[in-house]
Amino acid sequence: MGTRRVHQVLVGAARNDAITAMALEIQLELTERFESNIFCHHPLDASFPEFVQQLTEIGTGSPHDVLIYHLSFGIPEMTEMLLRRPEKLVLAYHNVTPAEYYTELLPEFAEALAYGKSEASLLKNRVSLAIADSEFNAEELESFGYHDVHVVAGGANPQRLIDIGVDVNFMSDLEQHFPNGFILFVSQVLPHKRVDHALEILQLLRTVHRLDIGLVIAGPIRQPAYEFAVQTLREKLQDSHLLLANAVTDEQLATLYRACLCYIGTSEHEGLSVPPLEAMANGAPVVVLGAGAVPETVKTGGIVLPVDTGVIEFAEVVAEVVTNSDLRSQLRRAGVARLNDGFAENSAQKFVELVSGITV
Amino acid sequence: MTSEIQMTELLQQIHDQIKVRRAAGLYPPGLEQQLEREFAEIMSSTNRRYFASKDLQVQLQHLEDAFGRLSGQISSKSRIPGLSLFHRMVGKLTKRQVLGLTAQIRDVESMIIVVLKMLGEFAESQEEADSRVVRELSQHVLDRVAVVDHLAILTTELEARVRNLESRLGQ
Repeated sequence: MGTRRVHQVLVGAARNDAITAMALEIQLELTERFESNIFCHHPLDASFPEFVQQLTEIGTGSPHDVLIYHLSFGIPEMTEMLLRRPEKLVLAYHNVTPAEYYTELLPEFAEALAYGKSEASLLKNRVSLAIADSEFNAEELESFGYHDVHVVAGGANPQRLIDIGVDVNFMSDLEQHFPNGFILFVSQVLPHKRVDHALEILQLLRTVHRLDIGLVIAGPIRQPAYEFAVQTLREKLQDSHLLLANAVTDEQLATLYRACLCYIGTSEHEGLSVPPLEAMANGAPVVVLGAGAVPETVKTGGIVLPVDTGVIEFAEVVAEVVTNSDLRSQLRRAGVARLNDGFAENSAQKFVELVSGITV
Repeated sequence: MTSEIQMTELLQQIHDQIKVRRAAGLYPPGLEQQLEREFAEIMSSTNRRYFASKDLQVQLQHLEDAFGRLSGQISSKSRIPGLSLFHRMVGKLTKRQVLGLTAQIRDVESMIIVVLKMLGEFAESQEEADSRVVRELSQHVLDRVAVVDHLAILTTELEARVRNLESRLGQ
Protein backbone atom coordinates (compact mmCIF):
# COMPACT_ATOMS: atom_id res chain seq x y z
CA MET A 1 0.00 0.00 0.00
CA GLY A 2 1.41 3.44 -0.93
CA THR A 3 1.46 6.56 1.18
CA ARG A 4 -1.97 8.12 1.39
CA ARG A 5 -1.69 10.42 4.34
CA VAL A 6 0.85 13.19 4.97
CA HIS A 7 -0.11 15.33 7.95
CA GLN A 8 1.57 18.39 9.44
CA VAL A 9 1.93 18.86 13.19
CA LEU A 10 2.35 22.27 14.82
CA VAL A 11 2.78 23.20 18.46
CA GLY A 12 0.48 26.19 18.05
CA ALA A 13 -1.40 27.73 15.15
CA ALA A 14 -2.18 31.42 15.09
CA ARG A 15 -3.01 34.09 12.57
CA ASN A 16 -0.02 36.35 11.80
CA ASP A 17 2.32 33.56 12.83
CA ALA A 18 5.04 32.86 10.26
CA ILE A 19 5.23 29.09 10.83
CA THR A 20 1.46 28.70 10.60
CA ALA A 21 1.48 30.69 7.36
CA MET A 22 4.21 28.44 5.94
CA ALA A 23 2.31 25.30 6.99
CA LEU A 24 -0.82 26.61 5.27
CA GLU A 25 1.11 27.21 2.02
CA ILE A 26 2.61 23.71 2.20
CA GLN A 27 -0.85 22.33 2.86
CA LEU A 28 -2.10 23.67 -0.47
CA GLU A 29 0.57 21.59 -2.22
CA LEU A 30 0.14 18.51 -0.03
CA THR A 31 -3.57 18.24 -0.65
CA GLU A 32 -2.87 17.99 -4.40
CA ARG A 33 -1.16 14.64 -3.81
CA PHE A 34 -2.20 13.24 -0.42
CA GLU A 35 -4.87 13.15 2.20
CA SER A 36 -3.56 15.82 4.50
CA ASN A 37 -4.47 17.83 7.59
CA ILE A 38 -2.72 20.20 9.95
CA PHE A 39 -2.85 19.21 13.61
CA CYS A 40 -2.03 21.55 16.42
CA HIS A 41 -1.16 20.89 20.08
CA HIS A 42 -2.45 24.13 21.60
CA PRO A 43 -6.15 25.07 21.57
CA LEU A 44 -7.26 26.57 18.29
CA ASP A 45 -8.79 29.84 17.26
CA ALA A 46 -12.33 29.01 16.06
CA SER A 47 -11.88 31.08 12.91
CA PHE A 48 -9.17 28.80 11.55
CA PRO A 49 -9.75 26.77 8.36
CA GLU A 50 -11.34 23.42 8.99
CA PHE A 51 -8.23 21.47 8.02
CA VAL A 52 -6.41 22.79 11.10
CA GLN A 53 -7.46 20.45 13.86
CA GLN A 54 -6.67 19.68 17.46
CA LEU A 55 -3.83 17.14 17.80
CA THR A 56 -6.04 14.90 19.94
CA GLU A 57 -8.08 14.17 16.80
CA ILE A 58 -5.19 12.80 14.78
CA GLY A 59 -6.25 9.16 15.07
CA THR A 60 -4.07 6.13 14.37
CA GLY A 61 -1.42 6.17 11.67
CA SER A 62 0.50 3.59 9.70
CA PRO A 63 4.20 3.17 8.80
CA HIS A 64 3.25 4.07 5.21
CA ASP A 65 2.10 7.53 6.27
CA VAL A 66 4.17 10.63 6.98
CA LEU A 67 4.09 13.24 9.74
CA ILE A 68 5.77 16.59 9.16
CA TYR A 69 6.65 18.11 12.51
CA HIS A 70 7.38 21.86 12.59
CA LEU A 71 9.81 22.31 15.46
CA SER A 72 10.06 25.77 17.00
CA PHE A 73 9.27 25.10 20.66
CA GLY A 74 9.56 22.17 23.05
CA ILE A 75 6.79 20.19 24.67
CA PRO A 76 7.62 16.79 26.26
CA GLU A 77 4.18 15.29 25.46
CA MET A 78 4.76 16.09 21.79
CA THR A 79 8.16 14.40 21.84
CA GLU A 80 6.68 11.29 23.48
CA MET A 81 3.83 11.20 20.99
CA LEU A 82 6.14 11.60 17.99
CA LEU A 83 8.48 8.89 19.28
CA ARG A 84 5.54 6.53 19.80
CA ARG A 85 3.70 6.96 16.50
CA PRO A 86 4.27 4.63 13.55
CA GLU A 87 4.43 7.19 10.69
CA LYS A 88 7.66 8.28 9.03
CA LEU A 89 8.76 11.56 10.54
CA VAL A 90 9.86 14.65 8.65
CA LEU A 91 11.41 17.37 10.77
CA ALA A 92 10.83 20.92 9.53
CA TYR A 93 13.23 22.91 11.67
CA HIS A 94 12.48 26.58 12.23
CA ASN A 95 14.91 27.05 15.11
CA VAL A 96 14.09 27.64 18.77
CA THR A 97 14.54 31.05 20.38
CA PRO A 98 17.38 31.05 22.94
CA ALA A 99 15.86 30.64 26.41
CA GLU A 100 17.92 33.42 28.02
CA TYR A 101 15.65 36.10 26.56
CA TYR A 102 12.84 34.81 28.75
CA THR A 103 14.62 33.59 31.89
CA GLU A 104 13.78 36.66 33.94
CA LEU A 105 10.44 37.59 32.39
CA LEU A 106 8.77 34.20 31.95
CA PRO A 107 10.83 31.42 33.59
CA GLU A 108 8.44 28.58 32.62
CA PHE A 109 8.41 29.66 28.99
CA ALA A 110 12.21 29.80 29.08
CA GLU A 111 12.31 26.19 30.31
CA ALA A 112 10.12 25.10 27.41
CA LEU A 113 12.42 26.86 24.96
CA ALA A 114 15.47 25.20 26.49
CA TYR A 115 13.69 21.87 26.10
CA GLY A 116 12.99 22.69 22.44
CA LYS A 117 16.69 22.53 21.61
CA SER A 118 17.00 19.12 23.25
CA GLU A 119 13.84 17.88 21.49
CA ALA A 120 15.64 18.04 18.13
CA SER A 121 18.31 15.70 19.51
CA LEU A 122 15.74 13.35 21.09
CA LEU A 123 13.92 12.94 17.77
CA LYS A 124 17.05 12.45 15.70
CA ASN A 125 16.85 8.66 15.31
CA ARG A 126 13.16 8.82 14.41
CA VAL A 127 13.57 11.39 11.64
CA SER A 128 13.54 10.13 8.04
CA LEU A 129 14.01 13.55 6.47
CA ALA A 130 15.30 16.79 7.99
CA ILE A 131 14.48 20.10 6.34
CA ALA A 132 15.70 23.42 7.67
CA ASP A 133 14.32 26.71 6.39
CA SER A 134 17.76 28.37 6.31
CA GLU A 135 21.45 27.48 6.22
CA PHE A 136 21.69 28.90 9.74
CA ASN A 137 19.08 26.41 10.96
CA ALA A 138 20.67 23.58 8.97
CA GLU A 139 23.99 24.19 10.70
CA GLU A 140 22.29 24.07 14.05
CA LEU A 141 20.59 20.76 13.19
CA GLU A 142 23.95 19.37 12.08
CA SER A 143 25.40 20.41 15.43
CA PHE A 144 22.74 18.13 17.01
CA GLY A 145 24.08 15.21 14.93
CA TYR A 146 21.76 15.37 11.92
CA HIS A 147 23.12 14.50 8.46
CA ASP A 148 21.83 15.32 4.97
CA VAL A 149 19.82 18.31 6.12
CA HIS A 150 17.98 19.92 3.20
CA VAL A 151 17.54 23.68 3.10
CA VAL A 152 14.16 24.84 1.82
CA ALA A 153 12.15 27.72 3.23
CA GLY A 154 9.03 25.67 2.54
CA GLY A 155 5.93 27.80 2.29
CA ALA A 156 7.74 31.13 2.62
CA ASN A 157 6.21 33.38 0.02
CA PRO A 158 7.50 36.97 0.16
CA GLN A 159 5.36 37.93 -2.85
CA ARG A 160 2.09 36.92 -1.20
CA LEU A 161 0.92 40.52 -0.71
CA ILE A 162 1.72 41.73 -4.23
CA ASP A 163 -1.85 41.39 -5.51
CA ILE A 164 -3.43 42.76 -2.35
CA GLY A 165 -4.64 46.35 -2.47
CA VAL A 166 -3.99 49.01 0.14
CA ASP A 167 -6.47 49.71 2.91
CA VAL A 168 -7.49 53.28 2.11
CA ASN A 169 -8.94 54.05 5.55
CA PHE A 170 -5.85 52.71 7.27
CA MET A 171 -3.64 54.73 4.92
CA SER A 172 -5.60 57.85 5.82
CA ASP A 173 -5.20 57.11 9.56
CA LEU A 174 -1.45 56.66 9.08
CA GLU A 175 -1.15 59.93 7.21
CA GLN A 176 -2.97 61.74 9.98
CA HIS A 177 -0.95 60.03 12.69
CA PHE A 178 2.43 60.44 10.97
CA PRO A 179 2.24 63.44 8.60
CA ASN A 180 5.99 63.22 7.94
CA GLY A 181 6.07 59.47 7.52
CA PHE A 182 7.11 56.49 9.60
CA ILE A 183 9.54 53.62 9.74
CA LEU A 184 8.21 50.09 10.07
CA PHE A 185 9.13 46.95 11.97
CA VAL A 186 6.98 43.90 11.28
CA SER A 187 7.44 41.56 14.16
CA GLN A 188 5.73 39.77 16.98
CA VAL A 189 6.25 41.81 20.14
CA LEU A 190 8.65 39.45 21.89
CA PRO A 191 11.83 40.04 23.93
CA HIS A 192 14.32 38.64 21.39
CA LYS A 193 12.93 40.93 18.66
CA ARG A 194 14.32 43.86 20.67
CA VAL A 195 11.38 46.17 20.11
CA ASP A 196 13.02 48.25 22.86
CA HIS A 197 15.95 48.91 20.50
CA ALA A 198 13.56 49.97 17.73
CA LEU A 199 12.00 52.42 20.18
CA GLU A 200 15.41 53.79 21.17
CA ILE A 201 16.33 54.20 17.49
CA LEU A 202 13.14 56.21 16.99
CA GLN A 203 14.04 58.35 19.98
CA LEU A 204 17.47 59.12 18.47
CA LEU A 205 15.93 59.87 15.06
CA ARG A 206 13.53 62.34 16.63
CA THR A 207 15.90 64.02 19.08
CA VAL A 208 19.42 63.87 17.60
CA HIS A 209 18.45 63.86 13.91
CA ARG A 210 15.40 66.09 14.35
CA LEU A 211 13.30 63.89 12.09
CA ASP A 212 9.62 64.25 12.95
CA ILE A 213 8.77 60.67 12.02
CA GLY A 214 7.10 57.77 13.77
CA LEU A 215 7.56 54.05 14.24
CA VAL A 216 4.97 51.38 13.55
CA ILE A 217 5.43 47.94 15.08
CA ALA A 218 3.07 45.59 13.28
CA GLY A 219 2.71 42.17 14.81
CA PRO A 220 0.77 40.36 17.46
CA ILE A 221 1.57 41.07 21.08
CA ARG A 222 2.33 37.53 22.22
CA GLN A 223 3.70 38.35 25.66
CA PRO A 224 1.73 41.10 27.44
CA ALA A 225 4.44 41.26 30.14
CA TYR A 226 7.02 42.27 27.51
CA GLU A 227 4.60 44.80 26.06
CA PHE A 228 4.26 46.18 29.59
CA ALA A 229 8.07 46.59 29.68
CA VAL A 230 8.08 48.27 26.26
CA GLN A 231 5.32 50.65 27.36
CA THR A 232 7.31 51.45 30.51
CA LEU A 233 10.31 52.32 28.32
CA ARG A 234 8.05 54.37 26.07
CA GLU A 235 6.90 56.41 29.08
CA LYS A 236 10.50 56.93 30.16
CA LEU A 237 11.56 58.15 26.72
CA GLN A 238 8.60 60.56 26.71
CA ASP A 239 9.03 61.62 23.08
CA SER A 240 8.25 58.29 21.47
CA HIS A 241 5.98 58.51 18.45
CA LEU A 242 5.10 54.86 18.42
CA LEU A 243 2.15 52.87 17.09
CA LEU A 244 1.94 49.31 18.39
CA ALA A 245 -0.47 48.12 15.71
CA ASN A 246 -0.76 44.57 17.11
CA ALA A 247 -2.00 41.98 14.56
CA VAL A 248 -2.97 43.57 11.25
CA THR A 249 -4.86 42.35 8.18
CA ASP A 250 -3.01 41.55 4.95
CA GLU A 251 -4.42 44.75 3.41
CA GLN A 252 -3.10 46.78 6.34
CA LEU A 253 0.27 45.04 6.17
CA ALA A 254 0.58 45.74 2.43
CA THR A 255 -0.32 49.38 3.16
CA LEU A 256 2.36 49.63 5.84
CA TYR A 257 5.09 48.15 3.61
CA ARG A 258 4.20 50.42 0.70
CA ALA A 259 3.82 53.61 2.76
CA CYS A 260 6.83 53.34 5.10
CA LEU A 261 9.99 55.39 4.66
CA CYS A 262 12.13 52.44 5.61
CA TYR A 263 11.74 48.91 6.98
CA ILE A 264 13.89 48.17 10.03
CA GLY A 265 14.66 44.90 11.82
CA THR A 266 16.26 44.87 15.26
CA SER A 267 15.74 41.20 16.12
CA GLU A 268 18.70 39.46 17.74
CA HIS A 269 17.60 35.96 16.78
CA GLU A 270 16.04 34.87 13.49
CA GLY A 271 15.82 31.40 12.03
CA LEU A 272 14.58 32.77 8.69
CA SER A 273 12.91 36.23 8.79
CA VAL A 274 10.36 36.65 5.99
CA PRO A 275 9.18 40.25 6.74
CA PRO A 276 12.28 41.97 5.24
CA LEU A 277 11.65 39.97 2.05
CA GLU A 278 7.98 41.02 2.05
CA ALA A 279 9.16 44.61 2.56
CA MET A 280 11.42 44.30 -0.51
CA ALA A 281 8.58 42.81 -2.54
CA ASN A 282 6.45 45.83 -1.67
CA GLY A 283 9.11 48.41 -2.44
CA ALA A 284 10.36 49.33 1.04
CA PRO A 285 14.06 50.03 1.62
CA VAL A 286 15.40 47.56 4.18
CA VAL A 287 17.84 48.10 7.07
CA VAL A 288 18.24 45.12 9.38
CA LEU A 289 20.51 43.70 12.03
CA GLY A 290 22.38 40.68 10.68
CA ALA A 291 21.31 38.22 13.38
CA GLY A 292 20.98 34.46 12.78
CA ALA A 293 19.68 33.73 9.28
CA VAL A 294 19.09 37.40 8.37
CA PRO A 295 22.29 37.93 6.30
CA GLU A 296 21.60 34.86 4.11
CA THR A 297 17.92 35.81 3.79
CA VAL A 298 18.35 39.50 2.97
CA LYS A 299 21.70 39.08 1.16
CA THR A 300 22.31 42.18 -0.97
CA GLY A 301 18.68 43.24 -0.95
CA GLY A 302 19.12 45.70 1.89
CA ILE A 303 21.56 47.09 4.42
CA VAL A 304 22.52 44.29 6.79
CA LEU A 305 24.29 45.71 9.82
CA PRO A 306 26.78 43.71 11.88
CA VAL A 307 25.07 41.95 14.76
CA ASP A 308 26.91 44.03 17.39
CA THR A 309 25.73 47.35 15.91
CA GLY A 310 24.44 49.68 18.61
CA VAL A 311 21.35 51.85 18.43
CA ILE A 312 23.38 55.00 17.67
CA GLU A 313 24.89 53.55 14.49
CA PHE A 314 21.59 51.92 13.53
CA ALA A 315 19.78 55.24 13.89
CA GLU A 316 22.46 57.00 11.82
CA VAL A 317 21.99 54.51 8.97
CA VAL A 318 18.19 54.84 9.12
CA ALA A 319 18.50 58.65 9.16
CA GLU A 320 20.67 58.46 6.05
CA VAL A 321 18.13 56.23 4.28
CA VAL A 322 15.17 58.38 5.31
CA THR A 323 16.80 61.63 4.17
CA ASN A 324 18.59 60.34 1.06
CA SER A 325 16.14 59.61 -1.77
CA ASP A 326 18.89 58.24 -4.06
CA LEU A 327 19.87 55.70 -1.43
CA ARG A 328 16.23 54.74 -0.95
CA SER A 329 15.84 54.15 -4.70
CA GLN A 330 19.01 52.06 -4.78
CA LEU A 331 17.75 49.98 -1.88
CA ARG A 332 14.39 49.43 -3.57
CA ARG A 333 16.15 48.19 -6.70
CA ALA A 334 18.43 45.99 -4.59
CA GLY A 335 15.39 44.45 -2.91
CA VAL A 336 13.73 43.55 -6.20
CA ALA A 337 16.99 42.09 -7.51
CA ARG A 338 17.36 39.97 -4.36
CA LEU A 339 13.88 38.50 -4.75
CA ASN A 340 14.42 37.75 -8.43
CA ASP A 341 17.66 36.05 -7.47
CA GLY A 342 16.27 33.45 -5.09
CA PHE A 343 12.62 33.59 -4.19
CA ALA A 344 10.84 33.26 -7.51
CA GLU A 345 10.56 29.47 -7.10
CA ASN A 346 7.60 27.86 -5.37
CA SER A 347 9.17 26.89 -2.06
CA ALA A 348 6.12 24.95 -0.86
CA GLN A 349 6.22 22.80 -4.00
CA LYS A 350 9.94 22.16 -3.51
CA PHE A 351 9.28 21.18 0.12
CA VAL A 352 6.54 18.74 -0.87
CA GLU A 353 8.74 17.22 -3.57
CA LEU A 354 11.34 16.45 -0.91
CA VAL A 355 8.69 14.91 1.32
CA SER A 356 7.35 12.86 -1.62
CA GLY A 357 10.83 11.37 -1.95
CA ILE A 358 10.38 9.38 1.26
CA THR A 359 6.86 8.19 0.49
CA VAL A 360 6.27 4.77 -1.01
CA MET B 1 22.50 45.67 -5.95
CA THR B 2 24.11 46.67 -2.66
CA SER B 3 27.51 46.94 -4.38
CA GLU B 4 25.95 49.95 -6.12
CA ILE B 5 25.28 51.36 -2.67
CA GLN B 6 28.97 51.11 -1.68
CA MET B 7 28.40 49.71 1.78
CA THR B 8 31.95 50.32 3.04
CA GLU B 9 31.83 53.97 2.06
CA LEU B 10 28.37 54.40 3.53
CA LEU B 11 29.39 52.87 6.87
CA GLN B 12 32.58 54.97 6.95
CA GLN B 13 30.47 58.07 6.35
CA ILE B 14 28.16 56.98 9.19
CA HIS B 15 31.12 56.46 11.56
CA ASP B 16 32.47 59.91 10.70
CA GLN B 17 29.07 61.48 11.39
CA ILE B 18 28.90 59.72 14.74
CA LYS B 19 32.33 61.13 15.68
CA VAL B 20 31.16 64.65 14.82
CA ARG B 21 27.98 64.26 16.84
CA ARG B 22 29.88 62.79 19.79
CA ALA B 23 32.24 65.76 19.76
CA ALA B 24 29.22 68.07 19.68
CA GLY B 25 27.87 66.31 22.78
CA LEU B 26 24.83 64.89 21.01
CA TYR B 27 25.79 61.37 22.04
CA PRO B 28 26.88 61.49 25.67
CA PRO B 29 29.58 58.94 26.53
CA GLY B 30 28.11 55.59 27.54
CA LEU B 31 24.66 56.42 26.13
CA GLU B 32 24.07 52.99 24.58
CA GLN B 33 25.23 51.18 27.70
CA GLN B 34 23.00 53.38 29.81
CA LEU B 35 19.96 52.65 27.60
CA GLU B 36 20.76 48.94 27.75
CA ARG B 37 21.04 49.06 31.54
CA GLU B 38 17.79 50.97 31.91
CA PHE B 39 15.83 48.46 29.85
CA ALA B 40 17.45 45.55 31.71
CA GLU B 41 16.22 47.16 34.95
CA ILE B 42 12.72 47.54 33.50
CA MET B 43 12.74 43.90 32.43
CA SER B 44 13.99 42.68 35.81
CA SER B 45 11.11 44.39 37.61
CA THR B 46 8.46 43.76 34.94
CA ASN B 47 7.61 40.26 36.08
CA ARG B 48 6.85 41.43 39.61
CA ARG B 49 5.15 44.70 38.60
CA TYR B 50 3.13 43.37 35.67
CA PHE B 51 1.78 40.32 37.44
CA ALA B 52 1.20 42.22 40.71
CA SER B 53 -0.80 44.86 38.87
CA LYS B 54 -2.72 42.22 36.92
CA ASP B 55 -3.43 40.24 40.11
CA LEU B 56 -4.63 43.39 41.88
CA GLN B 57 -7.06 44.11 39.02
CA VAL B 58 -8.36 40.53 39.02
CA GLN B 59 -8.87 40.50 42.80
CA LEU B 60 -10.62 43.88 42.73
CA GLN B 61 -12.94 42.55 40.04
CA HIS B 62 -13.71 39.48 42.17
CA LEU B 63 -14.46 41.76 45.11
CA GLU B 64 -16.80 43.89 42.99
CA ASP B 65 -18.56 40.77 41.67
CA ALA B 66 -19.03 39.46 45.22
CA PHE B 67 -20.33 42.88 46.23
CA GLY B 68 -22.88 42.74 43.43
CA ARG B 69 -24.13 39.39 44.69
CA LEU B 70 -24.58 40.59 48.28
CA SER B 71 -28.37 40.75 48.69
CA GLY B 72 -29.20 39.19 52.07
CA GLN B 73 -31.53 36.78 50.25
CA ILE B 74 -30.92 33.22 51.42
CA SER B 75 -32.86 30.33 49.89
CA SER B 76 -35.26 28.66 52.33
CA LYS B 77 -35.41 25.40 50.36
CA SER B 78 -34.43 22.22 52.22
CA ARG B 79 -34.25 18.55 51.30
CA ILE B 80 -35.58 17.60 54.77
CA PRO B 81 -39.42 17.64 54.83
CA GLY B 82 -40.84 20.52 56.88
CA LEU B 83 -37.54 22.30 57.23
CA SER B 84 -38.28 24.64 54.29
CA LEU B 85 -41.24 25.99 56.29
CA PHE B 86 -38.99 26.44 59.33
CA HIS B 87 -36.36 28.32 57.23
CA ARG B 88 -39.05 30.56 55.77
CA MET B 89 -40.33 31.40 59.26
CA VAL B 90 -36.84 32.16 60.57
CA GLY B 91 -36.23 34.25 57.43
CA LYS B 92 -39.36 36.29 58.05
CA LEU B 93 -38.53 36.77 61.72
CA THR B 94 -34.96 37.95 61.04
CA LYS B 95 -35.62 39.72 57.73
CA ARG B 96 -35.45 43.23 59.20
CA GLN B 97 -32.09 42.57 60.91
CA VAL B 98 -30.57 40.69 57.95
CA LEU B 99 -31.52 43.36 55.43
CA GLY B 100 -30.24 46.10 57.75
CA LEU B 101 -26.96 44.26 58.23
CA THR B 102 -26.69 43.66 54.48
CA ALA B 103 -27.12 47.36 53.77
CA GLN B 104 -24.42 48.20 56.32
CA ILE B 105 -22.05 45.61 54.81
CA ARG B 106 -22.69 47.01 51.31
CA ASP B 107 -21.82 50.50 52.58
CA VAL B 108 -18.58 49.26 54.14
CA GLU B 109 -17.65 47.14 51.12
CA SER B 110 -18.25 49.94 48.64
CA MET B 111 -15.90 52.09 50.71
CA ILE B 112 -13.33 49.28 50.86
CA ILE B 113 -13.38 48.97 47.05
CA VAL B 114 -12.91 52.71 46.61
CA VAL B 115 -10.03 52.74 49.12
CA LEU B 116 -8.34 49.74 47.49
CA LYS B 117 -8.58 51.34 44.05
CA MET B 118 -7.16 54.57 45.43
CA LEU B 119 -4.30 52.65 47.05
CA GLY B 120 -3.55 50.93 43.74
CA GLU B 121 -3.55 54.24 41.88
CA PHE B 122 -1.46 55.83 44.63
CA ALA B 123 1.14 53.04 44.35
CA GLU B 124 1.30 53.53 40.58
CA SER B 125 1.64 57.28 40.76
CA GLN B 126 4.27 56.96 43.51
CA GLU B 127 6.23 54.62 41.27
CA GLU B 128 5.93 57.04 38.35
CA ALA B 129 7.11 59.90 40.55
CA ASP B 130 10.08 57.84 41.74
CA SER B 131 11.06 56.91 38.21
CA ARG B 132 10.72 60.57 37.15
CA VAL B 133 13.10 61.62 39.92
CA VAL B 134 15.55 58.88 38.90
CA ARG B 135 15.28 59.97 35.25
CA GLU B 136 15.93 63.61 36.11
CA LEU B 137 18.89 62.68 38.30
CA SER B 138 20.30 60.42 35.58
CA GLN B 139 19.95 63.23 33.06
CA HIS B 140 21.71 65.60 35.46
CA VAL B 141 24.57 63.12 35.93
CA LEU B 142 24.82 62.58 32.16
CA ASP B 143 24.96 66.34 31.55
CA ARG B 144 27.79 66.58 34.08
CA VAL B 145 29.60 63.66 32.47
CA ALA B 146 29.28 65.36 29.07
CA VAL B 147 30.79 68.55 30.52
CA VAL B 148 33.67 66.57 32.06
CA ASP B 149 34.16 64.80 28.75
CA HIS B 150 34.28 68.08 26.89
CA LEU B 151 36.76 69.48 29.43
CA ALA B 152 38.93 66.37 29.00
CA ILE B 153 39.05 66.97 25.23
CA LEU B 154 39.98 70.65 25.80
CA THR B 155 42.68 69.63 28.29
CA THR B 156 44.16 67.16 25.82
CA GLU B 157 44.21 69.85 23.15
CA LEU B 158 45.86 72.32 25.56
CA GLU B 159 48.45 69.73 26.55
CA ALA B 160 49.28 69.19 22.90
CA ARG B 161 49.64 72.95 22.37
CA VAL B 162 51.86 73.29 25.45
CA ARG B 163 54.06 70.43 24.26
CA ASN B 164 54.26 72.07 20.88
CA LEU B 165 55.25 75.41 22.43
CA GLU B 166 57.78 73.72 24.71
CA SER B 167 59.40 71.93 21.82
CA ARG B 168 59.57 75.19 19.83
CA LEU B 169 61.06 77.06 22.81
CA GLY B 170 63.53 74.18 23.30
CA GLN B 171 64.74 74.62 19.75
